[in-house]
Amino acid sequence: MDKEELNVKSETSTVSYVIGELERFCVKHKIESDITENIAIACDEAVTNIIMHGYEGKDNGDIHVVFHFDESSLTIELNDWGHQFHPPSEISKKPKFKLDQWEVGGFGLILMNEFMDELRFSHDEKQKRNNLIMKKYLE
Amino acid sequence: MELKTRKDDKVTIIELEGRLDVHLSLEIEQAVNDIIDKGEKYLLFDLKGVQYLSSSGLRIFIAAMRKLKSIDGALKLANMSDSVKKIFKVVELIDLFEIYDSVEDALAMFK
Repeated sequence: MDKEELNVKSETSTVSYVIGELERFCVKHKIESDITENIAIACDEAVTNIIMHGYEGKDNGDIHVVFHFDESSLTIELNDWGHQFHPPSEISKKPKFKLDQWEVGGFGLILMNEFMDELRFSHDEKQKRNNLIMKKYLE
Repeated sequence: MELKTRKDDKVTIIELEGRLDVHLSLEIEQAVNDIIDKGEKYLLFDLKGVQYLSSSGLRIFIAAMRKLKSIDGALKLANMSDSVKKIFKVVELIDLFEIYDSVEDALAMFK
């Protein structure tokens, strides 16, 4: 069992820092590189969503990141105090993409859903905090 | 941001490299926009140096394609790694783009 925590600001440059720390954490626990690559994409999408939508691109929001490792899984937990995130009840793999009607968003959730085994979104109204737990099973 | 570009006849070849996360992608998207605004209608993205692509990176190509379509231009992608191709496949955009194994193959299709 191992755990590492990061406290970062909602700057777009934060994404590469968090992914770098995640990749280092995965190497430390000898997680295969193709699995690490997928986990990194999912984490990238989640942090980007917080920055661009939760904090509307403003760079002074707080993001709390926790990586957990045990022998059977790797878990990423993200907390933010931006706008409440309302996840769709079902994450479609077919966004019915039309070039002329394209709007930003949607693909990130699909990638997170594809590359992780569990996604759990919650919101603590009292603390105005969004919480996301993403888990990847390693066995 | 200055992109690495070169011309082959009417085609502007844009060499992308690095990790296309939100930070880099926003800058690239703007730079590509500027290239199109200067009158370039035929773009070929060489993705040989791209190690990583998030959905923010996808925006670069979608936005460029949409803009080029409105001026009767064209966009092609070349040298895509398996991990980058995987992202296009997962979000089911693989059929939206013309993807070639090499820059030479893509250039031939512009002729």
